[in-house]
Amino acid sequence: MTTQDQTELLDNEILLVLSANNTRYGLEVLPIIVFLRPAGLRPLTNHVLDRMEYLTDKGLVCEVAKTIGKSNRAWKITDAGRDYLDQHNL
Amino acid sequence: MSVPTKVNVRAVLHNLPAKTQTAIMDYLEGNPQKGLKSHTYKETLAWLKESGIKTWARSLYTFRGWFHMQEQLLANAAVTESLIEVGRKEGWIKTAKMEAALTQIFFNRLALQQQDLTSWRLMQQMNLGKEKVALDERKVQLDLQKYKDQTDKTKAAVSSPELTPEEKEARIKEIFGI
Repeated sequence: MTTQDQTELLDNEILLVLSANNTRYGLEVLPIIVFLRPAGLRPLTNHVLDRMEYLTDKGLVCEVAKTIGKSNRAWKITDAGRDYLDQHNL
Repeated sequence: MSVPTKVNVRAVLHNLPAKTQTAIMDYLEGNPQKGLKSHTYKETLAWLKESGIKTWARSLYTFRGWFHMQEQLLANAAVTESLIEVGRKEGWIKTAKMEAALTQIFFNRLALQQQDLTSWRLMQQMNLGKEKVALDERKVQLDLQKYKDQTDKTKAAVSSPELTPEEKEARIKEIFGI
């Protein structure tokens, strides 16, 4: 599996985790990492933060209001993110 | 508070009504409260096929994890709401900004705490499993020892020149508790 494949797998799993969050709250990076464990993924925090930036730029996830500070950033999946999961049969 | 969301169109199990999803999980994992026993993935897939739902093991596995994650997050959201309600009543949440910040913190800390508990539970189950294996091993050792003792006593009884055949038979019956 190439690095690109691994990154795509991580992106997909992040989106799947966020898609399970049918609440009005966003998920912070640590809970996301913890929820990635059952999929066999143990990425570093900085790596996940990079992916969150990428997915945000792509419009697949959005950051919820930054009410506290940089350390408490949280994300939710967007409709485009759910469409992406649909298109990739995930 | 849950927000209605669009589910994956092609992910068959994710698209089913909540009641059906719960029924599938009950069948797969069992539900003692409803008197239902658990089933293997293979059995569950066959049961789903009978019900007209065609899916495959990987989807079922993914769905299982997703379902639990969703349930947990919804439960965490409910607990968060309760905590915020208490905070409002007791007056330690004063502004809307503070409330928004705390809800986010509570929700995420609960998710982490829950996962820690899950890991702890798994660890306990593993330890219990190890203890059970150790007990089983001890039982096998005791059985082997008992068998060896019985064999030795039988040999001694059979080879004893002082006993008559009837006495030997009686002795063997006694050794084996017949």
